[in-house]
Amino acid sequence: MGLDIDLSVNIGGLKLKNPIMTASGCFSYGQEASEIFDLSLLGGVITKSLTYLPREGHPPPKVCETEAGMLNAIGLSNVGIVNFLAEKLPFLEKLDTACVVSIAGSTMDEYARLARKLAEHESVHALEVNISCPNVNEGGLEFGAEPGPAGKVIAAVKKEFPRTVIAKLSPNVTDIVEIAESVADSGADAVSLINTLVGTAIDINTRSFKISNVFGGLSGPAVRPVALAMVYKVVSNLDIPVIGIGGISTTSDALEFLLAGASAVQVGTACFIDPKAPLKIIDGLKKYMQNQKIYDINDIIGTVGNR
Amino acid sequence: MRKYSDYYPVIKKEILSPGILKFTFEAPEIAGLARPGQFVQIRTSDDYFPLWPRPFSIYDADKPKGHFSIIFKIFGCGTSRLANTDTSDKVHILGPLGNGFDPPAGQNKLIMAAGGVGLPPLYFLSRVSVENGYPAEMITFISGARTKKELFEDGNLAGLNMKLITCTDDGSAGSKGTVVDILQSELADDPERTVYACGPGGMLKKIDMIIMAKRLRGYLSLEELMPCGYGICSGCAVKTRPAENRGSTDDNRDYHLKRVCVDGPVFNSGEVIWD
Repeated sequence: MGLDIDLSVNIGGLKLKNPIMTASGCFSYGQEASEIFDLSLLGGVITKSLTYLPREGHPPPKVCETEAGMLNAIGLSNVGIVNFLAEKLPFLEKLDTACVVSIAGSTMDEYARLARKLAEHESVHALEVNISCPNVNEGGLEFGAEPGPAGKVIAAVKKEFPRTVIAKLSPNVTDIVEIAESVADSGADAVSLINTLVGTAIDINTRSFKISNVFGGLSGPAVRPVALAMVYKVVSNLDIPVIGIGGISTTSDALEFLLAGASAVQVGTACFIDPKAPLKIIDGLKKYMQNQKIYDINDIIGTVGNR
Repeated sequence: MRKYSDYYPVIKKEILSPGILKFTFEAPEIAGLARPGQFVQIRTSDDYFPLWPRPFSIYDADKPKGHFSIIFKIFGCGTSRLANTDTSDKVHILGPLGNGFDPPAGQNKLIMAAGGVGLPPLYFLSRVSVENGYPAEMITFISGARTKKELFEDGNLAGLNMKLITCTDDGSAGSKGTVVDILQSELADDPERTVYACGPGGMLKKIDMIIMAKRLRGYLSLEELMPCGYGICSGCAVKTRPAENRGSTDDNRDYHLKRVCVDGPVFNSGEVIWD
């Protein structure tokens, strides 16, 4: 048979064996999915966003189904940094895959304290800084909606954390390129986009909102074209590596983002409806490359328009 | 607990009553592990209509044959599409999921309270309990529906020789009354029972109140639509009382969120804070 296929990519110093990661909030801390498949097959795992103290999140109902998508307002429920280090990280560090921890703070100082604590653990290969959660009152999008504060958070995290820092960007802004530019100037090693789009839904029979928080984040296949456009815009305007996120469910979805210039992608909502979706995408990428006689994934990235 | 996620064929379709179907799947991995009270998530097709898989309680599992079955009512687009699959079609199944029931301990008398398509997990629990030596005469099984045409039984339930009471809200078949009514009159005769219940939320809430008022032991199996079914999304979370507050109905106190899919679907009576 032909040459070996090389799926490995390097994203701002973070080496991945393949470009398929699981998106934050869509994979918990990994243990549940490990009862279904071997997580070491993944390019990387991104944890649920951590805050310093544990959070219960919003009361139910937290989710509702929409056409080819869903709304969620989980409200950053998470175990907090202390429990994460004691109970979750020991599991993650045994995996042969990149371990990326997502962090979210309600103050600049909280982001910095989280980064300082996680820097002590070499097994945390990278941080993804969530400055784009649309579902919490304080923090999150407060920092991600304006170029100035977004850059300051990244600079504060970068000062504390010596390895790869990824800024996760919101689509709920006037110009995503401006935000990406600001975090790049502040030292971000990569950007990931998009977080969810703000939406809501109403039950006409009960005349009530379908989720308790009223506003939620839209995700799933329905958002993919929006996400792809934003990824392409950032790639076209900046030199920083981009990780594509937004409704990626199949190999062809992932390829669209890679062709548009994303160096890697994250699979989110698709993990809910098919836990093995990331593995199917990895297998599908290999088949596509074999058919195209391309042996290095980097020869695909950003090649849209080159025929 | 190991879980499986794969495409498995429908091998048998039966109509139990109008709009209520029994499907049997050939899925040896899932059938081999399934315990009463557990469920599976099913997607009929790889498209996104609907997006989420639909949860179905396991009605029975035949380990040697590698089969398991579900009973469901056609309700919305997920169940309609499933109803329209043909035998030998493959559907995507994730399972077995959830905590399931603890097998009945000691020699308490048991009451199974099944509302509508809440019957499957309670049949499975009864069948396994009887097979493991639990005396059938110590189990009372109440199966209720709104009207005669929504009552269903495929013969297996009667075969277990439990005390079987069927009821309908309108009295068109069996005793007249709701499952809650029948449960109350049974408990009036003999209050020393452990109650297992599965059915609509309104019914479970009433049964929970009865169990708490009589200070009995009881277990409730919740039905909830859920994006993932295996604990990663937290979307199906319900409010629960911390153990020290059980028995209290002052729900302005602290609550904990628990995921129906992995912390449930079976909860202790007194645990869930109802809307």
